[in-house]
Amino acid sequence: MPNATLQDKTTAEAFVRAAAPAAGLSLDDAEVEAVAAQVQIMAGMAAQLPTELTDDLEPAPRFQP
Amino acid sequence: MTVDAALARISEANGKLNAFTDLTSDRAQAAPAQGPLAGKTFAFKNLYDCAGLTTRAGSIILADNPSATEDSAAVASLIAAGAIPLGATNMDEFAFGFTTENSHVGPTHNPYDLTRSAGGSSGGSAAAVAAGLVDLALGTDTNGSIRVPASFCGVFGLKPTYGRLSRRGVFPFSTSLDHVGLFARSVEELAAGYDALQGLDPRDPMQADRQPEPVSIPASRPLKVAILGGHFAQYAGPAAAEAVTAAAAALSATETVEAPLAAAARAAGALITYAEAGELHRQRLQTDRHRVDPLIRYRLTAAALTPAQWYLQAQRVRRLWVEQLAGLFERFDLLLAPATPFPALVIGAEIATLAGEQIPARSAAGIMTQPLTPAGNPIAVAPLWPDQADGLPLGVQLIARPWREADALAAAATLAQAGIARAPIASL
Repeated sequence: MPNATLQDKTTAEAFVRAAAPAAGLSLDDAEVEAVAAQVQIMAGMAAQLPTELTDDLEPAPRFQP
Repeated sequence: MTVDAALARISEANGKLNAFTDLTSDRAQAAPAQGPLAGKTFAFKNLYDCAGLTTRAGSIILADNPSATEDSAAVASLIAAGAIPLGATNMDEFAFGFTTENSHVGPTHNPYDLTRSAGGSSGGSAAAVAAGLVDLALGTDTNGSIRVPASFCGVFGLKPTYGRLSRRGVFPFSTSLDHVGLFARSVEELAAGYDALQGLDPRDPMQADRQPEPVSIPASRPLKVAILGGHFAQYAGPAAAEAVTAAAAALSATETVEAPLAAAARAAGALITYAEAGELHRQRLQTDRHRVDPLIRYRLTAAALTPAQWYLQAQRVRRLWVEQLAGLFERFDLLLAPATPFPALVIGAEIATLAGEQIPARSAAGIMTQPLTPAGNPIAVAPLWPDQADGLPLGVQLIARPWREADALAAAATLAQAGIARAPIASL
């Protein structure tokens, strides 16, 4: 499960090294480790989202209650 | 009290509280002080534009910017209603925290116990109201940044419906979740301040197209109230559970209802915040991240890498969550939950134990508020004083249907009239 794999330290660090250039970020090794620790926490949250969502359930970035 | 005396009192108290980052003496002296809020003083979180002052949002990076040339809509509205602006208040950098522990200027101290946090990210505003330094204070709420400090500092707070109030001139955090709101020591002052903030602003494209609905002084009236169980009961500490029990009795709430998506909604709110805040600050992180507060630096950097899949999935969960809460509001007028799981944290606390789990203390402070923000409902916080909080306050959330701020405030008025919700001036 992709959300769960980023809870793993090694995978999270690999993700940070791979994704940082796309965000224009040049991170040293210490920063990669510190940022990866935060990615692990985020992945834990992502793992709490239901995975079986219907295709017609539109996201709501311009949310109106 | 004269403006000079009020400013002098702030200068004296601020040595203990660190609630204010700036005083606006010139603006205070020049304020017309005529209108429904005449004679009332106010402060604003330092992410609101106030002409003549640099809007910093708690950041030393933004401190390099020129002064604002125009007031934010909220500051302008309060001044137009006769309120007097006394200054800007401390906050977590970029509003990314629940404790107002700002490494650049120091933490804001809780007026009821100076070793404890004022809550965040609008902690300076809440502490200023609790200490009686101002009558009203503006905050913002994205994941609980009004509700957590209202609970920790023992004041009334209001996060209106998403889109209700203009956000023009407010430095953003997470645009699809950001709310403008305020603090006061009475429901009447909260309602009067909220009414002054209402009004369509054609210059805010994110504001909902909805006419003002004044609440004036909310009368206490019968509402059908349910207690939120599940996630909210699971993580409520003893004092929080006691506060809910007392509020439920005063509101004649006997039924507990479940909202099974609450934990997922909390995760969704956090991930939406990460994605939007990370992108907002991405360029700053490229060039200036060494100047970002160490307490948020790596979290914000990770946020800039949020996978789009997570963000979009979180927005879809948000839609389900809105529907789930709407189902509850078919049966009830109001939902009740703690505002925080515990009373004010000790400044610097790293770990909290909730429901047998050891979790980071700063994020735990928002465990009750964060699930609710993605639904956008109006929520008032009323400060209670449970015995198990050892002399500290702890707030309850009064959650109403969208656009029914009047119901949330009426429930707060009921708790105040029952004598269990109160916001006395803290002795320093």
